[in-house]
Amino acid sequence: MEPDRVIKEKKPDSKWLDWGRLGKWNVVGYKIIEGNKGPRPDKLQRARYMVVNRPWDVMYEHSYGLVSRFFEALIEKKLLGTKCPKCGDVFCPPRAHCWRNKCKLAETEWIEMPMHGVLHCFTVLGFAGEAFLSDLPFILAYVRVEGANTLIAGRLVGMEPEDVECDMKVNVRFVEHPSGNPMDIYFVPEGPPLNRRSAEEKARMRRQLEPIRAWVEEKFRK
Amino acid sequence: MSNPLATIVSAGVSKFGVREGLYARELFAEAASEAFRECPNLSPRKEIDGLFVGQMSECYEHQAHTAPMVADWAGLLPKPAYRTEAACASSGVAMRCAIFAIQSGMHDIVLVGGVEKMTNRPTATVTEYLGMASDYPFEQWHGITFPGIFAMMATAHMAKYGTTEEQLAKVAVKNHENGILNPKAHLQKKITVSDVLSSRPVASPLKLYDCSLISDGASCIILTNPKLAKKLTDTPVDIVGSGQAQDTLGLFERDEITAMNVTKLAAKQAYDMAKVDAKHIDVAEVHDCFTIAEIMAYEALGFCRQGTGGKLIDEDATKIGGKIPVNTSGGLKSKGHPVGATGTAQACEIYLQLTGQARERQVKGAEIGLTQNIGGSASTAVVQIYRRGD
Repeated sequence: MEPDRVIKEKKPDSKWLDWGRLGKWNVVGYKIIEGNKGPRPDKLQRARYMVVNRPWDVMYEHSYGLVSRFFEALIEKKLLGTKCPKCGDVFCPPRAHCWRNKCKLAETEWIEMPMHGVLHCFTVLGFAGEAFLSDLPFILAYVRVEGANTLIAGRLVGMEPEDVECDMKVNVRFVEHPSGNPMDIYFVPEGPPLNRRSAEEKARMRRQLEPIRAWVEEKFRK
Repeated sequence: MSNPLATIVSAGVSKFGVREGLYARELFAEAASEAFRECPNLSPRKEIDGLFVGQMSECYEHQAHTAPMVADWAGLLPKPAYRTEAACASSGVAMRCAIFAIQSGMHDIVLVGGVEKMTNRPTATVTEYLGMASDYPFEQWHGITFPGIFAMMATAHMAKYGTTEEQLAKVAVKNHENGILNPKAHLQKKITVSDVLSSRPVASPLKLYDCSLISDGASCIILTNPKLAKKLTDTPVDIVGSGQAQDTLGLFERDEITAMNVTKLAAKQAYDMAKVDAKHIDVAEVHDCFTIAEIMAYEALGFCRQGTGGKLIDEDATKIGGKIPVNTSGGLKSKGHPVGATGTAQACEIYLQLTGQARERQVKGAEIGLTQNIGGSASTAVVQIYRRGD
């Protein structure tokens, strides 16, 4: 069967690709396509349709609500959590009210958290949303900061992905210039790798990550 | 066994896949047309008195207010239409709302479905849209993705129970085998354990073949009360149990992330209501958005003990012909996962199975079926139990 073909095309100027704001509600490019289509793969028919490029982007402005103080403290390089005055549960990241039904949404109190904890679980991202693609591959961990009942997410650095394991001890660090962003904190391993993974498994993970590193190098570093 | 909550008299599914050149509303019309065609005793425009539709996101087509739109395209104006949103469980929740409507007597015959048009956006953008169902700011801002969130569950499950990447891979292999038998499935492609293990890591330990597909598609069922069902079809399927539970939005606030506790709670409600147990289920469609999610579903639904989901797949118990066939449709893994359409698409497969219309993938003598549909990191879980009607 004949492959899809572009019948007519006007390519958008490259400025529209990065800066949708200016082009809102404008059709900055279009294609009219004829291809083999239909609900039955064994009975496709030639069909014609039009595809448009329309930029649309947004600048969010929102508050951090009742837990704003956590983000303010990040700017001062302090890690805060909250504590329920009734049951004593500790939340890091913070919750403004206790999660337990019996505490009837008691308002929590601010406390300063220690800068260490245990890595509960993790992943090595090989794909992500647009804004994070150039950082691939990176390690994200959920860490239980000492004394907390909840986990907090963040990047783990200073260790090869194949060496990361659950239950590792980690320290919490701040970026050099915090801006009140959840990513102002990151984790580093407290000691040497636990080494519970076999040499074969580690080699497999290294091999798996090679094409991702090569892709990022090609797309963003050159 | 208990009385039916509501009865399915017909079902329709669009072809799932990359459906270039079609809007969401047109995909919904494709599914609705099939459901109408399969129920010739029904005059849809005259007799259907309400529509429930699940859809996750307005982002793909910049189109909100989905309910009147699909009511129009299904030819049901001016009947009342309602949209539900619960991320990937949107149409599972729509089904429950439809059951409430039938039970209350406010509606007699309703169309319940779901739709999502996703493939028109680049994969990185789709990843970000789907990520909106995780916590903002404590998950989304770190660049976590849904594969990443389920990978967190996977590393924890592996550390606690010794589950292996090979066991996860076997889930993908099985579901692809089933998908080959389903002409509506997005992918018809046989894969091997080594294909899965050597595929590109998306969020290690989950690789490309551990992940469900980004698909376009729509699905729907026609639901009524048992009395009217008798006039409309000789092959009704009764919904005899339904349960739902919610957990924290963020995965980081769970007591236990390896257990999918809300699925357990929803399943208990549904089993109790239906007066059946896990051992009575002949066929199940579970939410295999990632292979680890199917392993965790086995455990949470009681198909095996907590921590032994990997062993169950090793024993081939969930293949067609096994003790408890799971995801005969190919699951989200091979059939595809247009998120809003998934909940009712699962119900459509159980409808085909219990009415003996599943052709090459038919589970012989299936009488009782189950669906499990989750939203986000299992912040929502919906479990329904079905029985072949008489």
